[in-house]
Amino acid sequence: MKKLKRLSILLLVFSLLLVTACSNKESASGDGEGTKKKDVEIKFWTIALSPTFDDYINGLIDQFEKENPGVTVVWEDLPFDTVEQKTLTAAASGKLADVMNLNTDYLKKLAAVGAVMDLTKKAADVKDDYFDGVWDAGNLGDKTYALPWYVTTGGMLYNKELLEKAGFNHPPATEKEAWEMTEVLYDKLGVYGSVPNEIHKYLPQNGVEIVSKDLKKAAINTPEALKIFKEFKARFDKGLIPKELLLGQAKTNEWYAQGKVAWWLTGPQLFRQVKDLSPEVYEKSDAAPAMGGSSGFLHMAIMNIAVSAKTKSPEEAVKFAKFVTNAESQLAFSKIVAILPSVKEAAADEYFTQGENSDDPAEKGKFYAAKQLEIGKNIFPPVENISEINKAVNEEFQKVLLENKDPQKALDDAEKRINDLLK
Amino acid sequence: MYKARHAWSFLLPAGILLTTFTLLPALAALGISFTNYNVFQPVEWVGLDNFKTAFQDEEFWSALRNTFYFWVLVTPALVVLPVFLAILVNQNLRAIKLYRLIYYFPALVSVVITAILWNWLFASDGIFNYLLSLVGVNPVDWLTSRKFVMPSLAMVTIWQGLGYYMLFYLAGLQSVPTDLYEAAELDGANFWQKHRHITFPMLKPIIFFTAVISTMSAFKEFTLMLTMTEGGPIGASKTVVYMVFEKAFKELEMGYASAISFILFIIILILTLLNKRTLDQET
Amino acid sequence: MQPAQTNINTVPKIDQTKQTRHLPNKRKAGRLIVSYFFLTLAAVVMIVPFLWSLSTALKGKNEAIFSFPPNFIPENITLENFMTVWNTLPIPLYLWNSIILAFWGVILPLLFCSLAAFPLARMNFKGKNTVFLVILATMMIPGEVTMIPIYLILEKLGLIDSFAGVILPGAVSAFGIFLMRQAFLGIPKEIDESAIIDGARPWQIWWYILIPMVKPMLATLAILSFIGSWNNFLWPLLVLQDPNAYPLTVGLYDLKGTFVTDTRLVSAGAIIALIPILVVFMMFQNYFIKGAYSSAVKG
Repeated sequence: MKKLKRLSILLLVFSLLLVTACSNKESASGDGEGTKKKDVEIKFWTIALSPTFDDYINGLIDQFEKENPGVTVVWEDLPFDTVEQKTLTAAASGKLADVMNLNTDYLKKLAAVGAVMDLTKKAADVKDDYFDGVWDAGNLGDKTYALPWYVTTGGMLYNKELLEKAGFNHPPATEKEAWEMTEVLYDKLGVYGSVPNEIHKYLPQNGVEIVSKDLKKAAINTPEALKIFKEFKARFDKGLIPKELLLGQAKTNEWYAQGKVAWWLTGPQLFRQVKDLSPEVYEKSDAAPAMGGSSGFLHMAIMNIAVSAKTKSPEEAVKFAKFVTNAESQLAFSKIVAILPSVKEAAADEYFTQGENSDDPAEKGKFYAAKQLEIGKNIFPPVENISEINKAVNEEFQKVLLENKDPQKALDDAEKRINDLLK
Repeated sequence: MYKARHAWSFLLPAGILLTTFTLLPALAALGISFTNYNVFQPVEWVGLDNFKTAFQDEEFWSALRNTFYFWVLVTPALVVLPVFLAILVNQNLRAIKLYRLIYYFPALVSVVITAILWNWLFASDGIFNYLLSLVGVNPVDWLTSRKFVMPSLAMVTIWQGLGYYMLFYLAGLQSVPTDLYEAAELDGANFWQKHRHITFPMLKPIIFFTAVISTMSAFKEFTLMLTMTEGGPIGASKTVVYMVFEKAFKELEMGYASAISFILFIIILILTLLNKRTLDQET
Repeated sequence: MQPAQTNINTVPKIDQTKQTRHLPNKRKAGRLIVSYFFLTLAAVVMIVPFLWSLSTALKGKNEAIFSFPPNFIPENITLENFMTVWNTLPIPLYLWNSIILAFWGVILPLLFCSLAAFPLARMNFKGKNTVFLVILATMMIPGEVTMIPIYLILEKLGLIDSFAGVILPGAVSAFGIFLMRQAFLGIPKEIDESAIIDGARPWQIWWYILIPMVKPMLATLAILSFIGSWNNFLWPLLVLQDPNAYPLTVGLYDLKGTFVTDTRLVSAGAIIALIPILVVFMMFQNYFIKGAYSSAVKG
């Protein structure tokens, strides 16, 4: 009985807490709306930027609210792994954010089902502010559904010590040189060099388009692609391509940090991951420009800002989207983290013309990356099923390497799968 | 002895909540499986189209095969092995509570950390291959070959589940009167005889429970594949629910995802009923 | 439970006059050594990931964490990562939210599941099998496809952005009902019969007789419900809009950023979140008492 009494008291206390916790919150939010008396509220979603960039995003919002009296921006930051779940449940109940930060693949999916607003006309006035190769990322077919936000072109972080041990005093500058060096590195030290785990990026960078210009059928089945597949198969058979990295089971940054890989091709904003994983290896590292393929351009990863098709205040939402991605906002953002702006004016800032002689690879990498912005571009065709298409290409490629599938047969199958996905 | 109204009144509170938050959503999902629902666009009834697509979808068949294989590897081990662990920790020994806690750790540690460590063990130059080389065996492609990927992942799952299922058996063993064992020992029963005649019959309801629950979780597993292999190599570790997850959230095909889920549901249901017939005589 | 009964009777007859307490000392010592050998062997295999996170959390900024082979003992042990986590995030607030959610997340399933399991295990009524099967069946549908319907139901009920919206969908689990049913099944039927003859009401039988007998299983369910609620990540995130209402696991997700994720901080956060689970686990283990009910009950 004593126990029962104690339990019921505990229950009572907790029920009260629950009630007060709920009512407190309601009254608090009620007050907020009451005192501000704004006419329009815009909900803004970002992906995994809080709390590191709280000051920056809140500063943006404050400024926008000041310039646009009557508009309130409510910011919510979503954890990386749950963007899809959050988007779909919110959309199902009609609560999708007005302005959203989306990656290129998911943007295309959402555009295809009409979830995001067609900005072709509404954003025509700002189109020329952005780099041409970047603007495409927001397209599906010939319409634009998003504004480019921050971008990253490739950069290279390389391990000076490993290269010296193998007898090299400079990082590779071309694909051809990279593979020659890889072979020496592997034979002498048992470490790897180039690790092409994303053939869907490698192909277009080297002149093989995956989808035809009119976006109607596969363009991958060419003699050039066959040659590339055969080359890689030969390298794989020599042991130059580790299976774990090919399959994406191991992360290149971790292998680089363990000294198992001599260079890592990635955006300079990610160089610091190595510092985090292994300060010692970072000390031995230096930055170099990324190697472009034979096509002369570089793949660029792009984050986009889209506007919900169902927003209640389309004008303000589009305005805010443009504000977030304009030169001034992007420049300020780039200065906090080594990302690159998608706006020409911001990229021209002297901030990006410095750093060539920096001791810090991340700084130096930023300099090279900014220099390469001109040749950087979005290489993914604007079709709905782009992520499935990329996956199909990778799978067929992996079959050639891992399971000795005939390269021509693999390309035939890839072509067929892509054509199915384009229907 | 009890009246029906007693039964229903005990069931009522749980019944209301379960109906609202589990049964209705499940029925809704069943309904969705006959449509082309994708959250954003107007819903259209498509009849059995999604099911027909599934039966012609090579990816689905492969995922189904992988899932069955995984179940065969995992469930028997997770029904049997934790019994021994439970017997081991059901002794009155010093620090036994700490041991129980430690055995539960694998179920507590996040799947990301689990993945990091097991990737180390499975790496081509990892610890397992090193041990094999000591006895002169060639290195094995634990996670990078079709042949070994599912057994390797099953190994991780069994390791995670040992302590988890141990807990149910342990609670079950608590209600086995100790003097039964003592008496049996005095009559000369050995370890196996004791457990065959005392532990096993007393644990039968719990064995049924773990068999059903581990079957369900084996059929629904995908987070491990997501973090360790991304369903690879070349789809060899893609399970049905992995596919459901992709279709529902990444590819916006909620209708199709629901249809696949229901095919899976029927399979688990049949297995559970078989289970019930073999193990659970109380009906 | 019929099968158990009959099988127990086949055990060689118990001779009550024999001394049952003392086994020969030598055999006892041998058994102890064997037990501890296996206990420790298993423990080593199970504890490695935990040790790795702990050591990562204790490593300083200038120490590598992904070295190969893994380095388990930090060169310089530092609490700096814990301090950073504590200072960047409102840990006490998150902790408090987690505690409220977990309290209800344990109490409600314990109560509702053991109530519902009672008739399913010990009564005979029309539709019993169907009810049981439906309950089992709800567990067989992947959560990925029921998520949106559940969310919409919560919205209809006005529970979005409230703790109730996080608690109620998990307040009764088919799993818990199933578990408690199996526990009740293990108790001999005669107990209810004699209690009814003595004039006990069903709720009295449930509360005074049956519940005390399944305490170990209730403790197990409590542990699992606590862990489930504590580690629940997706639902609080989907339902709660106000970051100040986030529980610990959701709050800790802020440590994973788009550009840089410091694994040391994530590990420190994970250890902080793990401590309450360990405390609760040890606490509920007190209900695991050797021989919770003796054979005397069997009559």
